[in-house]
Amino acid sequence: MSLFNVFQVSSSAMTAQAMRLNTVASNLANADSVVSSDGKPYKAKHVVFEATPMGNNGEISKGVRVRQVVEDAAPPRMVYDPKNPAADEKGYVSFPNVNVVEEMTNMISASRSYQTNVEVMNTAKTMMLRTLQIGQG
Amino acid sequence: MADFSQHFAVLSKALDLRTQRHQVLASNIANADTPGFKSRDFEFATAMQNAMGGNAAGGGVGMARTASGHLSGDAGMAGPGALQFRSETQSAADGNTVDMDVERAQITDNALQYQIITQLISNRLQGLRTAMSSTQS
Repeated sequence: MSLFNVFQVSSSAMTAQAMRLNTVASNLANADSVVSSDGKPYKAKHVVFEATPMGNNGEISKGVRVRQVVEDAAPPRMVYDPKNPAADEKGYVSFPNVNVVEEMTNMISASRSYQTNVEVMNTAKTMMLRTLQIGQG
Repeated sequence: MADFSQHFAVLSKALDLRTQRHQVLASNIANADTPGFKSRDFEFATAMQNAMGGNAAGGGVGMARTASGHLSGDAGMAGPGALQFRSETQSAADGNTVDMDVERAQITDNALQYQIITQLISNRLQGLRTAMSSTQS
């Protein structure tokens, strides 16, 4: 029953979108983290998706996987605050390069994609149940 | 009775193709955020014609196998009709051509058609059952 492949594909997409939501959460949580574990300001992280064959159907069913998590290359946000202990000699503090608006749109997009994949799964389930009902009554 | 099994062969082939199409559409939706992913689909009518009448009836030209070592010419498109790329309506910056509205409309349409076919099979069986029960009274 190749409809089971749909479950694999959709669930892989849901996992990927959940990971994207995870990076959004950590980006937003660390939007003001001036110092991260390596001593430098936190850098925004983004996931990179990749299509990958799934199941035994080659080109027909392609799932998603997260190929890598990349750091945003944008320069840090410089804020003039001489009293801050993290300020450099000119009085500027480098804040993380997290763009809060971008993260919010990312969040909405990820949650919508997640929902759509759940719906696709439900549709496949309905189709399978209809198949089971063939010849009944 | 031959007519009956022939009918079933057509309907089950149609179910098969609908299932495959659902997989293709599910992959498209799963990869809605994958950079560079191109939306795929196949034409149900053409695939059905190919499946029922062979490639020759569908307008294609089959390759003759004159030695046992030859590969069959249609090995690549053994399952459904050949997968095609969907023409894009709006281009995205990341090269992705999945249009969520189109995909969702298609997947709903496909699921409905699937249910119609299951209903047809059920009705067919029901007719057979009625024919059998009418003699027992």
